[in-house]
Amino acid sequence: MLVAGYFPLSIYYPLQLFSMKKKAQIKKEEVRQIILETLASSNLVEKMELVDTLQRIGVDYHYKKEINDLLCYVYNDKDGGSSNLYITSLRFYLLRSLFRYIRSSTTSSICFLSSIFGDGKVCWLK
Amino acid sequence: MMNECSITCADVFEKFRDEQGNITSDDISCLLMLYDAAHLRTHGEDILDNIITFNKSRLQSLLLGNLEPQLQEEVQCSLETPRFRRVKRVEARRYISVYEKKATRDGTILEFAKLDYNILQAIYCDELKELTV
Repeated sequence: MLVAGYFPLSIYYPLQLFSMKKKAQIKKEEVRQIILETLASSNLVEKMELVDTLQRIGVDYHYKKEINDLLCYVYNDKDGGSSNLYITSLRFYLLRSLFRYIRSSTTSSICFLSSIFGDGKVCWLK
Repeated sequence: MMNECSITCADVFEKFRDEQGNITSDDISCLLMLYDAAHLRTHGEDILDNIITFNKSRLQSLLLGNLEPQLQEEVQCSLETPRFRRVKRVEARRYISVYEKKATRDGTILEFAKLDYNILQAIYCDELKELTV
């Protein structure tokens, strides 16, 4: 109910917002469980598609650590489904966006790649 | 010094060149992914420049044909603004509707995304109110 000159306190009643937040908290943990299951699986394409979905649908900021872990796998799998153009493009998109983000952020506030030495494994720091 | 090119080299696309030297696909989802990925180019990456130029005209001609409405919208969207340049929150709202229609969607992710979007919107409205009242 919008009346001229009157600005509503919120688009939801406080109680309504409270129950939404409660429900969201539960769903958030359920999604985290899905991510952890995917992380434990050996399916690289599933990992990439999950990161892509979470980023596009706008909830990736809740799971920075988990997404870093997923992308770490993607990076370390050098082959990365290289015979398939879709998968190659998706891998390229995810990794390039990540490095752009790293380059444009301050190192203290984000997780960043510290070194790629010897065994080619990536270290992620907080 | 680590840079984008040493981490994800554009050479990964090299092997997908066809006889004419172009890189493209008949699958529209693949074509869109390729087109969006190529926009993360840096100076001097000719292979990515070529992918964009060639596939831009392909996508434009596809728009004139008979595409499913959903794909039509995706193609239109990518031609207007490549994915990495879109405003994240606006794209999230748009993608929630796209994801909802996908056969492979995950109900839990979808439900959380909707709740989170609405909660954030309420927070933004409160902030706007504090700034303007």
